[in-house]
Amino acid sequence: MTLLRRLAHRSVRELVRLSCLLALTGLAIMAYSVLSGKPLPVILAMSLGHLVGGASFACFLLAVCIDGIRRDPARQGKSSEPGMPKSL
Amino acid sequence: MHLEWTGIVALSAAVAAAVILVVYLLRRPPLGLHVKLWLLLGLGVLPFITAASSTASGMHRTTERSFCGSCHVMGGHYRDASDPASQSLAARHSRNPFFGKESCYVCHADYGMFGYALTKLGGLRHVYKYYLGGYDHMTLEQAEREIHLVKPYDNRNCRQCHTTTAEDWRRVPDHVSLEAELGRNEVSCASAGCHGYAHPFTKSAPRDAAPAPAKTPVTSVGGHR
Repeated sequence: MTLLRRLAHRSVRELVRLSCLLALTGLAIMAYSVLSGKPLPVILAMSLGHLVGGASFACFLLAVCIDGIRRDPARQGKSSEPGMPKSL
Repeated sequence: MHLEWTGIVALSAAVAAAVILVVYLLRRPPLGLHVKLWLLLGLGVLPFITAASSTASGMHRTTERSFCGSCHVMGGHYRDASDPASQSLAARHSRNPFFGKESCYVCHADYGMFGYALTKLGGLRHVYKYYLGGYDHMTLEQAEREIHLVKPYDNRNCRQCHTTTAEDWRRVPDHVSLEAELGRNEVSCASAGCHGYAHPFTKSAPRDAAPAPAKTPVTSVGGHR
């Protein structure tokens, strides 16, 4: 099972929560680099901080997309057709 | 601790984003349009501002002498450059307000259109050497003996300020006779036979072999061409 499928199976609420936690981690790394100004924190902020922040935003976008698809009545109608599994 | 305005922007945006996210995590409201817009602010816009301004702040921080001196292997260089009584080339230039707190960067940054980016890429090699190349285990004495510039110091960096077309510069016979060699980097401005080493304490040669540095400290860029 790919990561995307795994994420899609998780609820939107969980994804948003994960996104918030990742964002808080990334923000903490970046804020610490500004306050500390030492080489390692500055490099970590520019690499790991940006990576975690990007992952957080990607999770949020994914959650919004999944939420949008779930709320889309046309797709809901399709997925409720007889013979089609509900998970689709 | 001195914060640049970019650092203040980064911290303000980070705090604002953190407040939004913590409130969301504590209250857990239903994910309506209103909440999504708040989350877009807290997860997208404000973190983007934090990332951009903390990067700008971090890049600026990397140009300061105290940043270079924060690795122990550069301790000797840092102390000498910051010493108001030192007569080394590095210290005399560091007292010049044009170089100021950024004297390491001003002298060692590559000259040219891509100088900034190339210098920063070169800085990553320093990080690698420090954390993975064994520099962090070296004693200061060992580091001063063993660590050298990866390539000969480029005279063009000196010539950013000390133009070779100025009459004062051309009045010195050695300058004119060595002009071609200086241009090809075959002779360094900061060598024992010329203006002396920038960091003389790192050289094994006896100090009296190098010519005495100028008696009058450089007070301005234009005053020592």
